[in-house]
Amino acid sequence: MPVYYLAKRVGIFFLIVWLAATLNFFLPRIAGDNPVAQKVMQMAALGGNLHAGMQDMVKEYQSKFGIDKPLWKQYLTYLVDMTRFDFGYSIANYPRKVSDMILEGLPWTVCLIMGTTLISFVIGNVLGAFQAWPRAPRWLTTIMPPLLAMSAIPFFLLGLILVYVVGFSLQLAPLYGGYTAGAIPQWSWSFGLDVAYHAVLPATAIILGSLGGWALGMRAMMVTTQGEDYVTFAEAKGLSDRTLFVDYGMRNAILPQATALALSLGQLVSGAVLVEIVFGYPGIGTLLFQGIRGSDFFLVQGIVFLVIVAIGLATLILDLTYPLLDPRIVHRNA
Amino acid sequence: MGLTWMNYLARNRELGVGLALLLGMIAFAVIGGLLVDPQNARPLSARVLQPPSWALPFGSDRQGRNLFAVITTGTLLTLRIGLIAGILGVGIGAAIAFVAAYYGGWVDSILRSIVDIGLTVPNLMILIVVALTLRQGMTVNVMALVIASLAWLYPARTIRSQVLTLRERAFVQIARLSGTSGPGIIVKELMPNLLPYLMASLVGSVCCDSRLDRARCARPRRLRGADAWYDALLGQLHRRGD
Repeated sequence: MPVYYLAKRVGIFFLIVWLAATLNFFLPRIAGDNPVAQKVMQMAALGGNLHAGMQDMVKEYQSKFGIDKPLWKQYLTYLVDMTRFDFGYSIANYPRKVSDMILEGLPWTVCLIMGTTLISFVIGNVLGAFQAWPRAPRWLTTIMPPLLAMSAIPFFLLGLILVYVVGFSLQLAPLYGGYTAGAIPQWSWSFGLDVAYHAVLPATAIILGSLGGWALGMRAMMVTTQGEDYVTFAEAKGLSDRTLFVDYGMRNAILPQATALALSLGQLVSGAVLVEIVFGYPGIGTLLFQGIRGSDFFLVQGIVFLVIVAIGLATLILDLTYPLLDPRIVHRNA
Repeated sequence: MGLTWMNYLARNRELGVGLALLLGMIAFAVIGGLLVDPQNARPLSARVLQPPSWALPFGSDRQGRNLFAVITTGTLLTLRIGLIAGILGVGIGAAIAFVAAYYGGWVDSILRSIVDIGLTVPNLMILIVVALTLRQGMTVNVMALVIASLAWLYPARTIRSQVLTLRERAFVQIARLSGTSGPGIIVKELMPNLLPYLMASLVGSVCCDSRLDRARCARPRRLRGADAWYDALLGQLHRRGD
């Protein structure tokens, strides 16, 4: 298989990115809003009086952003720009460049979401595996139902409760933002501590909210490995509990979980939109939300294109590593 | 009959707790619905921003909606959306996963590509575009269908990964050698092995889908539960802040 399969799979990767990017181009335009006109109207409404030259202004800006050209021409420019990762200017925050805005939000989202996803993946899977393990400690099985109940609560609600109880009533943690208002982002200990302090609540909300889901999936897979002949044989051989648990149990239950992890890591670029909004976190999720609300085509396009590439890469790596995770999987030439 | 049920519950205490929670939620919605007129869920049915009291157990929000009425009417709707979207989503996703992974080859390539493309577009964006296109708001069932149309992608990808290894197992090969057809193998050999995971996905999906309906873009005629809880809590926060 390898070379042929690899080439085919990479080809599919590019195909997926292209098709998804196309969808991403046409989808916001179906809604039929005219972002420039909207923005100008909004500004005029704020300014108080309507100007006579409004229509000209809209036209001028539309030609500046290239929205007055025929759709297919816009589409071609779009494709060329995307291959160079040039996302153009933000409509709502002109003259800021979309790529700058994204770069500014990216570290926040990547640190927060990637960290919490990995933490909850590891804890959740170990917990879940123990749920299906006959010799698991008692206390491990009793903390499961509360965690499951927790994961049924939406992130943002959990976040709000945390903000209310810990941040507002007990005043133990900040209510809002990624760092203290007025602080200047820089690489220093005090600023780092400030950021960590502000990340505690959103991180807790995400971890508490997603642990149960990981555990549930792992438990379900682990149960199916328990009755397998090779487990019985390994037990009869007298292998240690640890080996049985990790190498014979979890290893054989990990595939769907690894898939889910890759997908959520791919999606992490778009951030946990609602968590970021509730906590006023300066990440990509907040940016995406603003972009969608303000019909900021270029901003949304830029973020979604990043998500497309990230998920495309994640699934590509995933498909290539399946045979490593489970040598029984073979890629046959079709 | 009744006795076996009781025995079964006594042996599986977790099941009992779960059922009790679910029944409690339904009971809350049904009994609450009898105690309060659903019409009070509309704006201006109470004084604006009232703290909880006997007349208004959960207080009222900025628009003067009685939040107790809002939650009792919303809970069942959310449950309905979660169930419809969850069952459809996991059902379709599992079917596609089994077919794609078992048959492999170009079937797998095409189905997997479709799933991967679908996964890349943010849900929130699709929901908002749908909401903007259907300007006049939508019924609860339509909304459930919209969410279901997004919900099958994720299970399809995760379930497929396990079928990839299952199809190489000895029992599947024996079934194939003894002349069982493809669909027969999928239903009789593969599915039972994944039943626990399918159920887990269903639970996760129901939770997640009733969570999705929070995206308040749909300008619904009726409020749903997740929203209502959010509003109740947010209302309290505002009041404390004022």
